[in-house]
Amino acid sequence: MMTSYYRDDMTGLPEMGLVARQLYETAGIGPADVQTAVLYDAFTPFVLYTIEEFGFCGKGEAKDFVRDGNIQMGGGLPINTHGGQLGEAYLHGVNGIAEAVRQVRGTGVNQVPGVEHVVVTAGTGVPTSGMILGVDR
Amino acid sequence: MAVAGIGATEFSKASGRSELRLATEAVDAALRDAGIEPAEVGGMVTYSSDTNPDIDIARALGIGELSFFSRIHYGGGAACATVQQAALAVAAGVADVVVCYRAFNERSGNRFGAGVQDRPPIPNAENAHFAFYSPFGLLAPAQWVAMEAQRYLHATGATSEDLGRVSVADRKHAATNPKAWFYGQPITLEDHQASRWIVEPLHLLDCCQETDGGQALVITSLERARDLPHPPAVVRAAAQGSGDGQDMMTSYYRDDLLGLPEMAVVARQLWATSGLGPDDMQAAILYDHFTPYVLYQLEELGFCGRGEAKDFVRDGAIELGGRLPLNTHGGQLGEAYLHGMNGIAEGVRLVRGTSVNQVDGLEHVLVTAGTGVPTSGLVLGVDR
Repeated sequence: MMTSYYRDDMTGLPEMGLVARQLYETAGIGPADVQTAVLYDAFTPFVLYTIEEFGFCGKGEAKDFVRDGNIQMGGGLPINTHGGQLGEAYLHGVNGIAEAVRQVRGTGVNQVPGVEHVVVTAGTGVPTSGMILGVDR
Repeated sequence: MAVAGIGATEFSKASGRSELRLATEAVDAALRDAGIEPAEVGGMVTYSSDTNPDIDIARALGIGELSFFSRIHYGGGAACATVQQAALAVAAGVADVVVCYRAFNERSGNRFGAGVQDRPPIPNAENAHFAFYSPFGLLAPAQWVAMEAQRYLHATGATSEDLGRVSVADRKHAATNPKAWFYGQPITLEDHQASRWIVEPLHLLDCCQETDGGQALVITSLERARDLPHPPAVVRAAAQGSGDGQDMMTSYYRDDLLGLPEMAVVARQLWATSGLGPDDMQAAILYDHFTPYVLYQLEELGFCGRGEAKDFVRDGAIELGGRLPLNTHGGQLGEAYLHGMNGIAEGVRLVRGTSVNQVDGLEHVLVTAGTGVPTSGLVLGVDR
């Protein structure tokens, strides 16, 4: 719990990698098919880890991925369009799921145009979970 | 889906080791019984009241990655629901092998029989509920159950001796079970009647024992189970239920206090899913933390009519050789109080044909979980 310090390295979140693997396999899509993401942001560092575990960029490259507004509205992958837990509210992630529903409905106050799939993740540093929500077609 | 493995520690009053070690030993034993390597386990399920994190057991045994983990609330009501959630996970394809476990030092450590009297007054809704009962001295499970049982005896004409027949059957079966705490110690109805009052109408021998120990179960697909060492115990049905007007052990505001509507919710689903009925059960493991609720369950599950359980339990009907042998391991009164998990293991042994008190020609066995709380149930059957 929050202290997986005895792993060979501490530069990943293997539990989130396990979730990502299952999600992409079940949904039959990959990172390129995701237009926006709600990534659990209890603390900012694990957002970088999560971006890497979900394959939005390579290992150790999240620092480059988040630069130049790429994770803001208008960027390549807007994240936490509701403001996240840093900005909207810390509801143990459930408010993030609600935001993903709004993105799919097209009713986000910061709506991403052309959303087909949204990745949502849960708490980091602990056994975790995730989901991919999509538009009904 | 099927139960492919069972494993337990010894059942004692002072285990002399940590709850985590008991849980780990039980899971290890269940996996060995199933012939499945720890690394194959993909899911783990336990009670929210269990103190042993699944991830600690996973590290201790080399289970590795987990893709499903779940905890179920309401104390002993969780027992059969652990198997339901495991079966759902396997059916949905999120895990191939799921382990369910429960372990505690309930006698030498934290004793549930003490109820809320030593519980810190944390101001949340769950604890606040008991604020309506504690001031009147209703602090412990035996007291909460006694309130309903008194009404039941008055309304149905059942007597303390009818409650005692449950205790006598359990202890008769425990007497021939070397794993049971009360191995070799049967009781008579006279012993039951002579035992001291705990709370009227409950004698000491109407109340289950307290136990240190652990029990685990391994659930996988029926196809996989068929390739493993033991005959599969097929999960014919599994269900959870919470009733209208449900409270924790104190559902006193229902129109009458003569039933367990939550067990009726479970029963309805079990019979509908399995396509079976009470007449198709050759044995039953009914949750017996207190004897009165065994009578209630016989009625809710349809083994007899309303108010007729007192007649059903007479003449040895619930003992080996009777119409419905009950708790052939000795139940929680006789074998061990493991929050119902040891009863599921006995259901598996009955299906395998390996119970020390085997019921001949058994095809299906019913197992229930904690009563007076949101609960669960299972129908296990022989693979045909």
